[in-house]
Amino acid sequence: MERGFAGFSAAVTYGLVVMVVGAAPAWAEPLSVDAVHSTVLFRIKHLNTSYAWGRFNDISGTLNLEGSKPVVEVQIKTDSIDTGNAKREQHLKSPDFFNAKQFSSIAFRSTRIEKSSDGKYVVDGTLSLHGVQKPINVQLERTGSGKNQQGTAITGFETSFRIKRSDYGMKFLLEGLSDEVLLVVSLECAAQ
Amino acid sequence: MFTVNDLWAGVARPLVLTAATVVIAAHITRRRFTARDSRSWAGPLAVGIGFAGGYWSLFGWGGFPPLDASEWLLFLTLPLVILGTLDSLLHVGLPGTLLTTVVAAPSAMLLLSWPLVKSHDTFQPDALLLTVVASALTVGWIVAMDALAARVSAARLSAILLVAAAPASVALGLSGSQRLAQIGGALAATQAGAMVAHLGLGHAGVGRGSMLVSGVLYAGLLLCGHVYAQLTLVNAVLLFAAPAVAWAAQIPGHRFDGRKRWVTQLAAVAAVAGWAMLRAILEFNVEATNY
Repeated sequence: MERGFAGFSAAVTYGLVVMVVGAAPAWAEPLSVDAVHSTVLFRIKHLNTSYAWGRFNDISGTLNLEGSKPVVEVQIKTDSIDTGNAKREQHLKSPDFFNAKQFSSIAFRSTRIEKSSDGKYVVDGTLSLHGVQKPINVQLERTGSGKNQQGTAITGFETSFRIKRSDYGMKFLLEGLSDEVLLVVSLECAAQ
Repeated sequence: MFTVNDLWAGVARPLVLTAATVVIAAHITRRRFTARDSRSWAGPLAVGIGFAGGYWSLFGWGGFPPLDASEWLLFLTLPLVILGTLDSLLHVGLPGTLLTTVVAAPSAMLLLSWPLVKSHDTFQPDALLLTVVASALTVGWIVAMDALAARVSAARLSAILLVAAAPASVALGLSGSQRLAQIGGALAATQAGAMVAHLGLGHAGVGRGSMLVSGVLYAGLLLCGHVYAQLTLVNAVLLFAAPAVAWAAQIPGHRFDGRKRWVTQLAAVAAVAGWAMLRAILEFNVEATNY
């Protein structure tokens, strides 16, 4: 009897140790981007005067930052651009800017991920926008982790970076809308 | 947004380039060709130079192959000018015109709509059907307008295209793409330049051959407006059909004299193109908030 109890307690202890020490944190496992709770914002200067903000509503992707094959992949549907003005959105989707019919998505795929400090990563990758692929470098920061209503582990990440739209062949109205665009990407990711 | 610079680059420059090309070509070849031929052969070349010059002034050359499918409009100009000039110089007649048109128009339409025809690595039947229909209509349009060109002066033919292309430019601008509107403005300006030059040279010139250049560029522009911007199908068809309405004044039995025929043709074309422009204005006003 004593021997049986000792065996049971050893098993429980081993299990607890594995859970506390050995279990990988949520962000170290493959994660899927939750489109509802993720945001891609852009900011552009209008007539060299004020900043106009817009967003993309259709986001998807996967992240695996500390696994054996670390990767960050994000896709954005160009057609989901949202600026709060339907006519402006129509213009932005036209060949003047995104040409959403021809270039239906914006994509980022990492080529190298390096952990710089706790919760911070340096991510090199390729941004595909308007049919042009260019290497970019972003600083990705883990903003928190927890559980959603379904009990699934979730983790948040954020990054912001600037691009020149002319580098991606979007050269129309450069005198009216700035070349430099700030992008703010906030992702809420759930374990797959 | 149209600035003074845009108007200079996209309207004045193509107008001047086209007019100058027609006049210089006529002057250079006046002893070698007949009066009519010397004033006519450079029509396609003039439209091509004017259009390419205006496009370059507005947007630069871009890269090759172009990123945006609509940028093919610039690169299509060179082969169209070569084919059109051959047509104009060699007097190839209906079979020759038909052959060059059957090759040029579908090739151009397919290039312009290719990203939609072959999207996500599969052929899209709707886009393919639209391209086939647009190609067939463009072939018919060019043959019909080429036949009209044999019956009216080059100046009048340019005026007919001008009163269709100018409203088309406005409609495109109101349908979501100022860039396509500016390209339409440049095309309209080439017709204005050709009209001014031919009026100055006298009525002997004919516009055969230039229909291939103007027709494919015009149809291609409207196709781009419909598939890549928000030009409605009805407005695109109205604008496309407008120049062909000029045939109305050529119907046998209508006894219009020269001046009355000018006015009738231009009014008919302007009415149809203007209708499309008015529709675009009304649609814009319904949708527009403070943009």
